[in-house]
Formats: sequence, structure tokens, C-alpha cells
Amino acid sequence: MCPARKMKKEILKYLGHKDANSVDEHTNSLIDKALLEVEQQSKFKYIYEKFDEPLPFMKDISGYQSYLEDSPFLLCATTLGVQIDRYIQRLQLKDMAYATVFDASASVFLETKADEFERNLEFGNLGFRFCPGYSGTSFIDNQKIARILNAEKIGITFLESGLMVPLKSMVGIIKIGENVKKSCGGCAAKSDCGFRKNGTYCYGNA
Amino acid sequence: MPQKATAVSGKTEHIAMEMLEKLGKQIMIFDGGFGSELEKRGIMTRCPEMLNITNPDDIADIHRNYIEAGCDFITTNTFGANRCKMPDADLKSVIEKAIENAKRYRTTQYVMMDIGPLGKMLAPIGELPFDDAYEAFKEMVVAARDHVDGFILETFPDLYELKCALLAVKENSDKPVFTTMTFDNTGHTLTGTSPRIMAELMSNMGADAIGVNCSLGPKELKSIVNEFVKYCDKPIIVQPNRGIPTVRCGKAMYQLSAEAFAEVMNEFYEQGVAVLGGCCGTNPEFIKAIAVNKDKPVVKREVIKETMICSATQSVTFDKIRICGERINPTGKKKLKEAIINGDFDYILKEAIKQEEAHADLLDVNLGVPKTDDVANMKRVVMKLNEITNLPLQIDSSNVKAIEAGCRYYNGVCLINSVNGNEICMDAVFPIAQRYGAVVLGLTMDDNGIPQTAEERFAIAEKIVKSAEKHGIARHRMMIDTLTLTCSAQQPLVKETLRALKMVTEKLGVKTSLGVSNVSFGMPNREVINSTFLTMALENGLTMPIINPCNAMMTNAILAFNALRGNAADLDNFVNNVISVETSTPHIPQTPDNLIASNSSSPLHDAVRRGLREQSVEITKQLLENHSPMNIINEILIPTLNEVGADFEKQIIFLPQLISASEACKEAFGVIKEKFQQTDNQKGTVVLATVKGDVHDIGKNIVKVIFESYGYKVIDLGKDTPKETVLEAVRKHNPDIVGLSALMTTTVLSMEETIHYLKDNNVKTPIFVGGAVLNQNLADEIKADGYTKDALEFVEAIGKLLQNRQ
Repeated sequence: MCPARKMKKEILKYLGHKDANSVDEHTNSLIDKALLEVEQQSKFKYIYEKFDEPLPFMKDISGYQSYLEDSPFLLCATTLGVQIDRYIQRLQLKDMAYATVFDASASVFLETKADEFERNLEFGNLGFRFCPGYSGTSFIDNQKIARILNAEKIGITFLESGLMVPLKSMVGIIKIGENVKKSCGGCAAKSDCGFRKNGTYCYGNA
Repeated sequence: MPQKATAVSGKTEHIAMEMLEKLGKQIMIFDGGFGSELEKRGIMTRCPEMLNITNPDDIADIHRNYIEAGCDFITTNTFGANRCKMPDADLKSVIEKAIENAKRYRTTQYVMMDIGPLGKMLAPIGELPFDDAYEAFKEMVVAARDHVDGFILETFPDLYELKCALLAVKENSDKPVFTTMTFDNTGHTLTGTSPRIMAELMSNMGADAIGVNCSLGPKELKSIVNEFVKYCDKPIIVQPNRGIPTVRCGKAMYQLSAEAFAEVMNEFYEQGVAVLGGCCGTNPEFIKAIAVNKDKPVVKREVIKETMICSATQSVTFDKIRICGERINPTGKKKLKEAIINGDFDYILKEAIKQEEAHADLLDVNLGVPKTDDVANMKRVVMKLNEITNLPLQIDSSNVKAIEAGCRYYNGVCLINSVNGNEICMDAVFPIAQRYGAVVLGLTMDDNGIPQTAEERFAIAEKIVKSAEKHGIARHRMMIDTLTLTCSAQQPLVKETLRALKMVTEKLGVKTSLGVSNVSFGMPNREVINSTFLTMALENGLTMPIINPCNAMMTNAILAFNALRGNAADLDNFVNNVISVETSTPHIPQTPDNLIASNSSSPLHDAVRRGLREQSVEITKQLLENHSPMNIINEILIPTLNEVGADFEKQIIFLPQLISASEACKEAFGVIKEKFQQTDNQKGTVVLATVKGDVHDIGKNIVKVIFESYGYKVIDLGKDTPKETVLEAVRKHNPDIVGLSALMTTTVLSMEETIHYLKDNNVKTPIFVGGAVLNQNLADEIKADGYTKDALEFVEAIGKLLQNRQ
């Protein structure tokens, strides 16, 4: 599937459509416009670092152990930048329907750009990005990863509550190695994943 | 506002003066990377500032190596020694120790207190208030000011935070201060600021050296340095990284040699850069290589200096006619006045967006309404405008404190409107302009009012410009308004305004401004008078008309003027952008009276369903001629909304369509409300807030639209809302419902706190909660009175609740 079509399918999923064919012409054109504007407004940044051994905060946490299975891994942080946040605030004053579409499009765009970036890394096969907060792993570990990577350098900061600013930012762990596969089976969140329960995937056709 | 501290010991003051005498005349050398040196020694930690205490010998030794390499400046190891990054540390001790380590081996070098960003995004995009950031920087400045020779504010990605830090230094110390930002390969900082914009604000605010550090390697910084060379009128400082690191086995490795580094740095020297140094990956070998240029005379360069105002991301120079949008000024605008009185800031922000889309180049902001707190309002509106528009602002007030609030919290170089020839006024306003780096608009009037003749007005303009220069404000930072008078009352004086405009333009060489529409007060066909006067003023040198950019007659006059006076591109611009002034209304299908009762075939039903806002407004206006408001609401709007809601439930339509329909309905309600102020069409009042610590407010805003579409009055408290603000709103507005929103589990805690706080303060209003992680169990746990899964369910639940109450 071409990247634009794939992104559109994901955006529709975010907007509540189970079936991409159920989209009306107007929403469809809003998504096209949003994808163009997200690209113009965003400043995609991605940083990472490779580790061979689990880091201290991962030790004794079964969620990390079951995901990593002793594989080496990357810590990564990625963002679309703060202009997107400003633009979403502006759109919400002007046109809430479009703001909602734009917000969903920005989320999908970030996932897609990160996937694209990772495809060009030379570490053999990559697993899914696992973001702490699931399967007994702590949401606060996102800040630990960001600190290790000095994610402030690409503009990622945290609120007291642990939320990230810019809003469209991700921090995660990716296992690497020849035998690694992107599959739900290898995901640390598989036991309580809402997407799986509904027979879908968190993104893409896994 | 903070008062400047003067506590400086005599010896360090002397050294500081000596430094400033040399700066910009002879090449000076900064030290290089610190992190890589710590790594080399195997002592790198997540908090390198603590090494000042635990490993003082290592730190002093690194400084010594740089001294031996030939640097003139030693940077203290205090980059992150602030309360946001080191909340539990004794910062004073860390800073004092760092300075001691820096001084241990110094001979003639200047010790510079290093201050980096706080690692938090400033509000309103983040949650760190500007004033708190200021206090954090001030704490560092106060701890260091008597022991260092100057300050370096470095590696800032956000101009707003840098402005805040520079204010903290300038208001609490007299020592020299250098400022650098990081730029990426797009030529901008992460938050979208160009070198030119940074240079303009920093120079106007009085930074002693300005430039770039970190970011990229010297080769990649060439275009960024070029921009500084062209536009920065202060000594330029450049501290690049050791090239672009290559990633090996997942680790970043710097490869560039000291010779290759020095080669490009030498090019910067030849272009007129005054201070050379290094950043990430560079070591004493690199500093030694660039120190060959030490003490050489700084190469002279031509700097372009022209009148410029800017936001953090967009600059305006006056090489062509620029429109200042006049719509955010309550004079003669009833709706705006009401919005200011009611604190309806969204209305003001929407006016800003409308004017930006109508091609305004900057926006006037005047919030002066009697019995309102214009200082607090100015601060709040300016901060919101920083977030939602890229256009620069004109801060307009007769209250000096409101002007200062606007300037302090503005992210960029603003235009102050205004000073006049009165000495007291100039003595009050010019220091504000100087402190915050603003451009000033001078009005040609004084204690005796507006003089009649052009010559007298010119004399006042001259006096203002000279007084500004005495206050240290260069002429390019001044603009003059020769004041438009009403032709109905003072017809002979209109031409004096135009003559004065010409004199000011030609003899003083400053850019000019006029509030154009004043000319036609009391006249019929005002637009004709306004647009004709505008053209006459443009011919006499007017550069910044203050007009309504949404008025096609006025913008067309400017397009036409440019087409007639300019080049082929201006002619094309006219052809492509001229707006037909025949008022075109959307095509409205006929609405026979009998259709009102048959909702599903009503054109209004169709327009709302399809989310056509303009059509919904027009049809509602038409219907109101023959139908009662309640009839339209009950027979068409509510049934249509219910139908749309049902379709959403059945997944026949989806979120964007639901919101579009609700927005169209809201507009229709707006027409009804406007026409029938007395009609009690408000169903109830809802206070909505995204709780403290949460900045994801899109869900709450969807709820707002849906509620408004059903005719509820919504008090929207915004995002990151403190519990005290919610309580205050409940007490003030006595709502029927409070709705709280939170996205994450961590912010649900803040939601719980807010609920407890409201209940502890005897709030009996039902509190409903919603958001991605909420469910009924969690809502029960945190003692919410209700939970609904989406906006539609919420509005239905409230409808039932209010019905039961009746």
C-alpha cells in the first residue's frame, strides 16, 4: 500500500472509522489537506542510541524482559516539533472538525516518519517501538529514556505530570537482531492490548 | 517590575569594562567542549554540575587545558545548574564551587557564568510560567554576579526562554552578557527562529555578543553565520560542534580534525566574526588551532540595519507597505468591548486569526476598556497571541503599565503605540522600549494637543526622535504617526497630516504610520473617503496604514497603489489578489414558510447536517424574518442535532462530521442570540476545564462545540487549569455542571485533587469527568458525580439531568 493511503487508513482509524470505505468526501479532503499541512508545519527529529545490556531501570521488570528477550536494543526519541502544537491550538479556534482531523493526521505522520527513519538504520531486524507505560512498565521511564538520550536536544521536554511537550513526540525501546520480528507476539503490551482485543493492530498491518 | 541590582565589586567591574573594550575590536577566543573532556576522564554523569563539588580537581584541570590552549574566556561548569534540572541541589554552593574551579588556574582570562535552558517548555505551550523561569535564571545570576566577569546564555532553542534569561541577567547584574542559540540545517532554531530575528531582539535588548553555538559543524553553520554577519550589529560569537557526528554501533562519534575545524573558523574570522570557540566534541587541540587568530583586529563588515519588528518566527521590515490590523481595539467595537469585559479571550484570538488570513502584516492590540484590568488582560492576550499567530504585534495602550506588560511577555520585537512629544511620556516609555528591545511609534502631539501645521508636527517628530536617541534608541527603531484628523470637523487640516507625513519621511528618514479611518468620522460613504485618503497618504510616504484588513476597499486601494507605482510583479499581484467589492452572499435555496415544520426537508437542516457554517447563518437570518427563535430552535436545530447524534452513534457519520454539524448549528444559534438578546435560549451553563498538568485539550474542545451547538453557555477555562481557577469560576458563574477532562493516568490524579478541592469548598454542582483513560470505575473512585464516554453522551446526560431538576 502506498504511504499516503496507508496513513489515511490509520487516520480514519483514529477518527473512529472501522472501515476506510466509510469516509465521506469532505472528511477525505480534510485528511488530504491535513497531511500536506502537517508536513509543512512539522520539524521531524529522531535520535537513538544502541545498548547491549538492559539498563538499570529495566532490571527485574517483567514487561521489559519479555519484550527484549536478551536482545540488544535501541532507545529512541522522536518528535514533530512545537510548531505543530501551536498550529493545533490555532486550528481549534478556527475549525474544530479540521483541528481533530489534523491532530489525528499529525499522530499518524509521526509514526510513519519514525518507521521510515528506522527502516534506514543498519541494525538488522527491528521490533516494534515499545513505549513504557504498559505491561507493568512505568510511564515515568519515558523521562529516564529521554534523559539518557538527552532528548532535550531535539526539543522534547516533560511536564510535571510526565506528559511530553511537543505533544507529537514519542520515546521508546526497539529490540534489534537478526531473529527479531515485528509481531504482536513479541510486544510487551500484548496481554492488555485494546487493539488486539478488537482484532486490529496498533498501527500498520503487523 | 524588577529593579536593577547594582551590587558589583569594583575589581570585577573593571575587568568587565576591559573585556567590553576589547570585544568586537580584537579577536577573542572561547573555550571548547566540556562533556567530551569529562567522558575522556571517565567521570561523565547525568548531572555534570555536581562534579564541581565531587571532582573539583578534574574540573579545574579541564579549564587549565583550555587556558593553555590560548582561550580568553573560561566557561563555568554550570550549564544546567538551575532549580528545574537540579531541584534538590544547593545551587549556590554548586555555582560558587564551579566559579572557584574556573578561577583556579586563570591568569588573564575572563570567567563567564554559563547558563543553559531550563529543560522545560514555557507556558502556554508548556506549563512553566514566564515569571517562574525568570526566577530560576535570576537565582543563578544572583549566585554568580559578584564572582564572574560576565554571563554566557547558550544553546537556547527557544527565543522566549532566551529573552527571559537575558532579562534576568540585565535586571540583576551590570556584567557583560553573551547570547547564543542552536540552529538546525533548516537555518532556524527548533522553535522556528531565524538568526536575523534572534540578532534583532538580542541586540535591541542590549546583549554584548550574539551568535550561534552547538547545532552543527562549522561547515554546516556557514549560511547561519552569513545571516548574522549581514544583520547583527553586535560582535558575533560562533562556537560550532566538531562537525556532524557519524553513528557507529549506535554511538555518535565526532570525526572532524582540528585543522579542518580551524580552516572554516578562519573563514568566519575573515567575514568579521569577533569571538571564536568550540562546542560538543571539540577539545583544547581545536581551541589551540583557532587561537592563531587571537588578538587580530576584527574584520570590519557592513551591517544592514532597518526598521524591523518581529515575532519569534516572522519579521516585518518596511521595504513595502505593511498593513497593521486594527480590529483588536475596542474603540467603536461593541462586541470586542463585551469580550474584554467578559474575559472572552477566544473572541479576541479569532479576530487575530481573521486578520492574519486577510493578509495583515502585524496586529494592533489595545484592550483599554474602563473598569477592566488592562495590565492583566494585556499579559494574558499577548501570551495567547504568542502561541496562535506568527504576526508581530503593536502593543497599544495609554497605560504605561499595560505597555510594559505587553512588552515583557511578548515573544519578539514589538512596536509600542505610542509616545508623544510630552517629556514625561517619553521618559516613561523609552526605558521600557530599551529594556524589552521594542520599536516605538511617536505621535506628533504634545501638551498643547495636535498642532495645526505640518511644520509644527514635524518639529515634534524631530524632538521625539532625538529624545529616543538620547535614551539609546537608534532612529531605525522609531516610527512616526502624523495623526489623521476628521475631515468633517477639520477639513483644512487633512492636507497638513499628509504634508507632515512627507516631511517626516524625507527629512527624518523614519517609517510612518496613520490610523486611516479616523478621517471619515461623521461622513456618509466612509469607505470612499477612507480609501481615497489612504491612497493620498501612500503617495506622501505612508508605510504602515492601520486599517481593517478584512475591508476589501482598503486592501484593494493598496494593491492598486502598488500596481500603479511598482513593477510588473505588483501588477500581477493586483490581478491575482484584487477582491471584488460587490457583496456576494452564499446561494440560499428558497425557504417557503411551510418548510419550517418539516425539519428533514428544511434547507437549514441540510446546511447544519453538512456543516456549512456560512449557509446556516444566512438561512437562519432569513428564517428569523418570519419565524420565532424558539420555533427555529425546537423545530429545526435541535431535531437536526439529535439526528446527527443518532447517526454518529450508529457510525453512519464520524467525528469530523459530528463536529462540523455542531459548529454550523452553533453559528445558527449565534445569529438567533444576537438578534434576540432577550430570548432566553440558553439551556444551562457548563464550566469546562482540562485539569492542571494536562495540555491535551482537543477532547475538551470537542465537548465545548457540542454543548454550544445545543445552546448551552460554556465557560471554558482552557488547559492546565489549577483547581483554584475552577473553584473561582464555579463561584462566579454558578454553573449547572462542571466538566473536567484528563488524558493520562497521571493527570487523573490532578482531576481527583480538583474534585476533592471543589467538594471540600462546598461546591454542590455535579462534576462530570471524561478523557481517554477514564471509565465509570475510575470516575467512581475519584468521586466524580458522572462519567460519559464521549461528548454526545455527555450532552445527553446533562439534558436529562436538567430536565429531571425541572
